Parts: sequence; C-alpha cells; structure tokens
Amino acid sequence: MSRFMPELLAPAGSLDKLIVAVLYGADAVYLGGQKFGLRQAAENFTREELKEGVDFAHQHNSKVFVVLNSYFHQKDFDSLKDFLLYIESIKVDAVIVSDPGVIQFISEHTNLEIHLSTQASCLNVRAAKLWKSLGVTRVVLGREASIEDAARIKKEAGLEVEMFVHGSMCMAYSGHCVISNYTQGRDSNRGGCAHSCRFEYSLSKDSADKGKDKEDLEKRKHSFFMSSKDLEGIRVLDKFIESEIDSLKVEGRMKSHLYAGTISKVYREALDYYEENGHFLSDNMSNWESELRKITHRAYTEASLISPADDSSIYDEREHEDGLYTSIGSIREVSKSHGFMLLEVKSYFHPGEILEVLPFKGVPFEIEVTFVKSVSDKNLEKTKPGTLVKIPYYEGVERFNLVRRRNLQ
Amino acid sequence: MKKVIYFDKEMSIEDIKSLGINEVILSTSYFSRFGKLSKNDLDNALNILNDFSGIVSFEWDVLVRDSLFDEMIHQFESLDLKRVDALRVLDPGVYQYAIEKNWDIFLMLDSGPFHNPLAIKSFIGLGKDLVKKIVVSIELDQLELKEIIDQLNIDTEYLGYGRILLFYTPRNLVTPLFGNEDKWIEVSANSEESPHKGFPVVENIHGTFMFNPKDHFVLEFLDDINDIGINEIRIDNRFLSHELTKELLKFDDKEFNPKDVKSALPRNVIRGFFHKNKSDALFKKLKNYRIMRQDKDYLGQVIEVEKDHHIGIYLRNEVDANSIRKVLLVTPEGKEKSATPHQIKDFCGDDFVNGGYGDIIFIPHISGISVKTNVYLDISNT
Ligand code: SF4
Repeated sequence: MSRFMPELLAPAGSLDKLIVAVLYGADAVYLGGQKFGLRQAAENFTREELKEGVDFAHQHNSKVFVVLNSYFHQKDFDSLKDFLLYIESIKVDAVIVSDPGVIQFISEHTNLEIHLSTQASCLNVRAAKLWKSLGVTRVVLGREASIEDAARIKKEAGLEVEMFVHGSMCMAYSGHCVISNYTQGRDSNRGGCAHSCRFEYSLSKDSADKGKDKEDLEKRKHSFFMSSKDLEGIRVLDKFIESEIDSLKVEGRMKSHLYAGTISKVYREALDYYEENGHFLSDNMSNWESELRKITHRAYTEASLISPADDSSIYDEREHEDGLYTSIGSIREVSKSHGFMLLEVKSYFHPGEILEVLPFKGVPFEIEVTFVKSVSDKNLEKTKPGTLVKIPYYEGVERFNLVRRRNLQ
Repeated sequence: MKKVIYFDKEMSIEDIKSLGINEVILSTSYFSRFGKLSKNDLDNALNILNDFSGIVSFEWDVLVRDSLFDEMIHQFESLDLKRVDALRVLDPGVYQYAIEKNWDIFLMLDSGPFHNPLAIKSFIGLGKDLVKKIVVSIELDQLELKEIIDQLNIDTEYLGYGRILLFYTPRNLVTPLFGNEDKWIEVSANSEESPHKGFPVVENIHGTFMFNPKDHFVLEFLDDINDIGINEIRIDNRFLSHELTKELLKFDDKEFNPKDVKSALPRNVIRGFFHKNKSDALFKKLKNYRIMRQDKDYLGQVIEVEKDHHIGIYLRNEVDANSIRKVLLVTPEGKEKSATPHQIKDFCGDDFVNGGYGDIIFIPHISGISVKTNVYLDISNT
C-alpha cells in the first residue's frame, strides 16, 4: 500500500551543503541567491552554482526552492526580473516569497511556482485563502500554527502546507520583529537580524519612564527570557504524516555540513521507516533522537506543534555549544587502490584516534585513524583545520561522507 | 490633517469634538494587541460616540490561529457594532474575513512590513473597493513614503506619536518570571549586550510585546508629512495620560510647541526612520564580497596550501588539463596573482587528465595564496 509521505526539505547554505543534504536523503532543498533573501551572511549561490545545484538535485530526484523572502523596497526590484528568468530557465522548482508585490511580479513575468514564506506568518485558513488568491500554491506556515491547524488549512484553503519540523526558532511571529532595525540599524526583514532575542536581559517591574524612581538593582530578574529553544518534531512525525502535511522543513542555512547531513539522514530514515511499517513502534525512535542530540543544538522543544508553546519553550541560558560530537570534516576523495582517503579537516585530531563516519544510509561506524599524512605524504602528529589529510581507507566510506568525533564528557 | 486617536475612557464627547478629532479607534483587550477596553467599556464608548460625526473604527490587529479565530468571530459577531464605520486589520485572515463580510476596511500595514508600492497595491486590490485607508509603515523614510503614496489613490495614515512596537510573540515571556496574577503586566528590560536601555515589555492575553525605549514623535514635521501626501495623523494615546493626549492633539495649532510637549512626555522620543532609513546599509559589510566567486571562467577554490609543495584546488567545473594553462588567483583579501602551473596532479599523485565538480587537483605552491582563494582560468594570453 502506498501511503502519503511528506517531503523532507533541508537547508542548503552552499553548494557543498546542498550536495550533503541531498546525498543524506533530503527530497528537496531551499537556498538563496546572492540577493533577495534573508540570510545575507550566508555564502549563498552564484548563478553558476545555482545551475550546478539544480542539476545535481534533479539527478538525485530532489527539488530546489529558491528563497526570495526579504520584504522588498522599490529599488530591490531592479534586477529581479533578470534573476527570475534565469532561475526559471535552469528549472528551479519553486520560489519562496513573503512580499505580495514580489508575488505579483513573479506571476506577471514567469510561470514559477510560488510558496509563501514563513515570514508572512500565515496562521489560518482565511489568510491562506487570501494568499492563494494572489497565486501562491503552498504556504510555509508560521511556527505558531499547530499540526492540527495546518491540516485544517490544507483541507479548507485547498493548497499545500509546509511546516518547520526542526531547527532554531524566532521567538517573535516571523516578520514581526524589528528589534535590529531600531537598535542596530539593520533591517531584520531584509536579512539583518542581530539576534537580540538571544541576549540576557535584566527585568524590573519598575517603570522606565522619565522621572520615575530607578529600580533597585537587587530586585531585577536576569533572564534570557526572549530566547527560544530549538524545535524538534521527531516525536510527532507520525502526526505530520497522518495529517498529510505536504512538506517538513528543517531550519538552518547558516549551520554546518554535519548539521545538514545529520538532520537529513535522521528524518529520512524515520520517514522511510514509517512508509514501510506505518508506525514508529520501534527502538529506532530513541536512536534517531540520540542522533539529533549529537549535533550542536539548544535544548529542544516541540514548541506549538501540538499545543501553544509554553514556559518550557524558553531557552533561559547563554548560547553555548552542547553537541555531543564534534565535526571532524568530510571525505573528499577515496582511493581503495592507494589505501587512503582524503579528508578535509574542520577540527583537529591525532593519529590513533577513533572517529565515526556517517554513511549516507545505515548505522554510523567507527574507524581507527592509524595514520595521518599530509598530501605530500609527511606523517602528521596533529591535523590543522582547513587542510587536507590522508587517513586509512575503509570499506563503505564514500566521497562527501561526514566524519565526527565523540566528545569526552 | 485629519486626527486619529484611540478612545480613552476619560474622554468626553465634548473633548472629542473640541479637539477636532476625525476618527476614534476602539481598541479592546480582546481584539487588539494592546488595547485595554473591556466589553463594558466598549458599550459605553459606543454610546458616547453616538453623538460623534466622525469615523469610528474597530481595531482587530491580533494575529490569529484558526483555533482562536472561530471564537473571535463568534465574539465579534455578537457585538453591536452599528456605530462602527470600519475595521482596522493586520492579519491577512482577518482581512479576508472583512472582505467576505463586506466591511469597510482600514488596512494596517504598520507592522505588516510591506515597503513597496506593488505590494501595497496588490494587497489593496484583493479588497476591491472595501479598503478605504492604508496605515503606512513607520519604517519607511519620507522619500519612500512619497514614492508609494504617489501611486496610491487612497487615504493614508501615519503614526504621529506613540510607542514603537519591536517584537510580538504569542508566548508568555514575563509571567514565568513575575507571576501571573494580572492579565496585563509591564516590565522594563535592559541588556548589557544592547546599547539601548529601558525597553518596555508588556505581556497580556495575546502574548508578549517589546517596545523601543524611545517613542515615535514626528509632530514637528507636519509640513513634510503634508508634502508626502499623508492625510491622517494617528496619536497612539494608549500609554498616555488624558491631559497629555489633549496637549498632543493641538499639534496643528500655531501655539503648539513641540519642544515643551516632548519634555512633558513620559519617555524620550525619536523621529525613527522618517527622514532616512539606512537599515540596509550594513549588509555589504556582512558579506565578504572579495571571496565571493564570479562565475566567468571559474575553476574552483583553494582548499589547502602546503608551503613549498602544493596548492590543492577544489574543482567546481568540468575541466581538462589542457585548458588549465594559466590561472588567475584572487585571495580572500582581494589580491590577484597569475600563474602558469607546470604540473597538475590528481589526489593520488598521478598527472591530472580531466575532472569535474568535487575533484581535487594539485598545482605547485604559489607564495601569498591562502585557503579560500578563488581560482579562474586565465584565458587572456593563452
Ligand atoms: S531578534 Fe530573534 S525574534 Fe527577532 S527576528 Fe531575530 S531571531 Fe527572530
């Protein structure tokens, strides 16, 4: 019996990350060009890279969505048409947009499929109908919508729905935070968010109005009260599937290759398991959860997927790295006949260490690094990030596999 | 210039008439993000406003999930709103509801960040003739405002004075720290990581709101506002005393002295982005344009450098050895170097013949070249 299965949509902050996400199982990736998106600090794709990315994804039966989700000012339209015609010519599968002016512009000049970005904070059936009347075929719902809300929107508004399943979260309704605009002079709705919601604040019930008694410092409460935990939807994946949510989106175009690979792999395996078995009644669920704990993340929450996010969704801690594993690098070349693999090093390691390879499919496995050599065959005592090194060949390791190391607890 | 204010329980109909108010907004605790009128207050207000010849509008600016929406519609439709002329909406779903119900609509784009004429026109178009006014964003500067308003054939309203909303979430962020005995709690927040101090933060039944430490005040620029084509000024008096509201509403009086009024206001004020919005200027600095690759003749990126030995290039394109006669290298600092590699090896140390995306080739070391240098085929003299 074939059952409804959602699309797994992964972030692709660069062409290499696109390749990683696709090879580890994403059905689709979203990425930004050099302009028009909200991730101004990400590497983003040149035109040629876009074409390479689309070709690679299509060869692997994956789709590519291009993000154009900043809110446009008039001058931003100048080079838009040329860019749209280009991405249409290379067969991009859809564009993700927030601005109704951009939606209209795209509809007038191309036949590109249009998805509404989460930036538009679409939360209800009527809003979805309104966006549909502008030409949108899919809505990426605001993170405040529950799976139940999403199912109703899909049914009653008659369009595809996409929901976030994993990743960092804006504490504000998307598109409704301008802290950076006023405090840092950077427009958060055009990619300038300075993450002020992650700051520690001291709060007082005393008024900040002029002439009012200034607060007793002792009485102030210190808190990261505006910082959200990260979303993790693996435990409610069955609800997404049963509610026929069309696409499950992973946040994180700025995040590492290891993140893109791990999340794609874990959710792919979980979705495939359900497709085959129709349930998640297995030990695999705890394995998947434990894999998700191995990447750098804040504490996890299901946020509003089931019921509105409560106090437990606040991440009242200073940002810190708490992944159980460190990204060591990725395999760039493999030569069985020469007995070595070429690893691009992200973090240092020594000969003799036990590392773990994340295969595209199946269980991660350990390798012992009995030697580490430079490309010029010098034995190395320690590696340096940003270099290529030769390590012993192991059966089953493939180009673009990610390598990690368990951190000492 | 027409004057728009929020209904204030202390305000009499005489005040409203004598101050030349053209529109009174009903901002309830249930339908408005930070309204304070209860159901009783609303009924009283509607009674008082029976004698008011201007516009009475009803604000519904909370964002709504469907589970709440049904209940809100139920509440809304049970209100006696005969005296209400228009609905002020923010959520596109509420906009759609107003269209379905054939209400006159004041579309609020203040927090809805539509900042170009096409966006606003296409949104207005959905409401056909029902949209009577646009509340324009305070993030637009006067040039952009004029550019937009020149293309709109509709009344426009701009915030003359009021709090600047920075952040809106449905989550309760204050009561976990201060308890929840009140339905409305206001605190002030400071952060060592921000140069600004004293952010007012309100939590109520709709969630949590953070405001700018300084309020928006542009009442001394009435001539400029007029020139732009804005025809209505809103005074957001919801956080202001009755007396000060009355003072502010004299903004079109010859005697009005903005300096005196500002010093009497509870908090310092700014003109925000009214004169110039440069909040996209920093983006260029966020990107390192020097390391951004150009597509033309691109070969790949330097992935490793071993001094006196080799440079490893991560290929991004199909290429064969013959075409790599001369290369141009552009370092992350923007320095350019040309080189003619006399040998090219593959990763096994064999002579490179041809390869494609993802392959790594090695050329002899060139001084001054670092990782992330972009490499191009230099076809100028070959
Ligand atoms: S500061 Fe926080 S809440 Fe605001 S846009 Fe940035 S991530 Fe979102």
